[in-house]
Amino acid sequence: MPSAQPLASFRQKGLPLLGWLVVILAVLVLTAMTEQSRLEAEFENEASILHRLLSQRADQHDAHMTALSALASADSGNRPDLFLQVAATISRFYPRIVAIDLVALANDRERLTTRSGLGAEQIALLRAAAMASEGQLDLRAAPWAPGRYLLVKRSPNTDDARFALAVEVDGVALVDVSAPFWARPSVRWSLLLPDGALLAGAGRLGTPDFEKTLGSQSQPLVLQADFAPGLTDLLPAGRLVAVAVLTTLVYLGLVLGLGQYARARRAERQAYLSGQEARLAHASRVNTLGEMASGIAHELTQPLTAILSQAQAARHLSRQGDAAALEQATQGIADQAKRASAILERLRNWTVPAQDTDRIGALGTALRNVELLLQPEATRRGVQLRFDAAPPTVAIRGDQVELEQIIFNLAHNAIEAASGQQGGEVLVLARQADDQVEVDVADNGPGVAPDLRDRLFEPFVTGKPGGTGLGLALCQRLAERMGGEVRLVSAHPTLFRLRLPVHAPQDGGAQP
Amino acid sequence: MSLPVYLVDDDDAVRDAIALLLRTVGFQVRSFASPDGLLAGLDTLAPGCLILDIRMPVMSGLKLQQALQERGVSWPTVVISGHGDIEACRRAFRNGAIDFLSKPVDEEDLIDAIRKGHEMLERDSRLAAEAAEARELLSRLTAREAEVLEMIAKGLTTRQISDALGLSARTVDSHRAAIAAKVGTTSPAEQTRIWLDAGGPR
Repeated sequence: MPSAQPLASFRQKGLPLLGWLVVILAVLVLTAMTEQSRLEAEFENEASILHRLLSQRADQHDAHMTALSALASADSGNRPDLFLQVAATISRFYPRIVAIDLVALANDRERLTTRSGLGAEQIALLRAAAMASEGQLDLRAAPWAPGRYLLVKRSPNTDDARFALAVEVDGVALVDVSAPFWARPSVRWSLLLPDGALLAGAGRLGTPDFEKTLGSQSQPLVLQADFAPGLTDLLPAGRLVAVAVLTTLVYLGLVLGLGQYARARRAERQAYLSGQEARLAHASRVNTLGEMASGIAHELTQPLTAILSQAQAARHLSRQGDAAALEQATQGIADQAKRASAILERLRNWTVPAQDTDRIGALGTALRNVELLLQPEATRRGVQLRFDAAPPTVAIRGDQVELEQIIFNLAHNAIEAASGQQGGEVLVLARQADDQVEVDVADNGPGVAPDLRDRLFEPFVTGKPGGTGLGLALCQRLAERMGGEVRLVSAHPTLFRLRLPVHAPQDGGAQP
Repeated sequence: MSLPVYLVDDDDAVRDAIALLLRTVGFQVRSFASPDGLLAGLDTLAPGCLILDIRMPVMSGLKLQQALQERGVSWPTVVISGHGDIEACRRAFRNGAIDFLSKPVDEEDLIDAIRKGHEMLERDSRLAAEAAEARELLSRLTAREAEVLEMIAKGLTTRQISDALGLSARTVDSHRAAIAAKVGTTSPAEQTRIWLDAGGPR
């Protein structure tokens, strides 16, 4: 069927390709999902690490302020260089601390700074912040430099403080993330002042995945972080290729392996089937031989019975001197001996193996032998068995006995089928059509049951009570070996057709 | 004088040969090619020994046996078979065969079997004749006399009989005298045999 062609082609090529695509997609989706949950966990982890780190750094500022304040109130007048030296060291070690200022509250003389200089505005802001303080650190954005904040403290930390001490911290430098995770474009962070104003980072985040105030009392800054993993996060190009290649390899391996496995299974099954076929062929031969032997024994019994009785009668007749009756009896003995001899002749024809190695069977001989063999049984069963009176004289390439076995089986089945009814009839006809010869075996029995028709030639399928279901399977196999076939042409009335190629001798002298 | 033999076999050669053999040893033989032939002429046939082939088309020897039984014909039957088939043999005997012989059949076996069959037939006819005679004798008795004879056959004494029937011993004795006169013997043993030949208790 032509329409089956593309379908078969699709099943052969398209199906594995489709399967490969589906598998690759599934593996990629699975990989991405795993990666997402792994990244989300990593984000949580990184964010809390950062939060802890920032809290610690803020606490460091408190410590610096305390130390510097102590230094300032101790001897700011005598050793201004000491204060500045310590301040410079702190700035050097902590780059986020951009500037440290010490401004006297009461005069304009005492003033120390790590900057290049302090403007009047800056001084005023520091003094105001220090005087407003009631002991705690004052935290505010540095109005002169965006992204920085000021920590201002009175020193000493009493109501009669003399100085305003200030530390200016850079927000970006405070965060200073070195972990590669934060370098991802899909990760954003921000640091907010307690009043919510942006200090540093990507900008205020609406509903961030992570938001936590730093653990420092003096600097309750808010850390916000957001993570929106993209396709490149979930499936980096390298991994994409690696997964695809690996999956393809595994898939190909599986497909090839499965194919190999299926082929192995098929071969195994084939071996099993042919083993079974060999067994059934043997069983059928034994079966057929048994039936033949039984039939031949019965056939020989009849003339032997007649001979024995006539011989014993002849002895009595010779004693009684009845010459005419005696002659008749001995004639009868001779006739019956010939009858027995004819039966043996048939048996010999059946059993002697084909002499020629070419194995050429004669159809006419086969039909005649089978007819002689089956006629008694047909008569016994009340079936009229008729064979083609003038079958085509053709040779078949195949074993003579096997040819006869096929016809015997078909005709024997037909006789059995026809025997159940009044006027049972079996007809065996042969005809030549070009290089083929057809033998039709027909009977007027009850026909082949519909549920049997499709499976008729399968082994162990039988419609006869007590049948083995091997006969037709063997017929089919033998016919196929000769390059022919057996077919059910009609189920009711039953007609089986054996079709075999005619053997054409290569040269005229091949005929034995 | 000799009783007939009826042979049924579908094989012409076998049938003719066996018939010839049996005739040469003095049997009166009629042969049939099929069971139908025998059944068709059954009413005109005198009782004889049957020889049936077991394997015949349309109706086997075994079926013929059954058909004959259904018609009340129980002549001795010898079944012959080409196969030493145990199942067929069993069925043949169950149907009342007196012998089962395998082909080829030896004359001695066959003749022995037929003689046995004929003896059975003769004995049967003799028994039938005796029974008819006894029944004829008993038919002469009155009902009371028959009653008394049955008791005699069962071994009862005159006294027991008179007690059982409520008669006087004298009356029973007079019945016994009448019975002896009618059946022709005064011996209680002979009287009992006649009573049994006639079929015993009714």
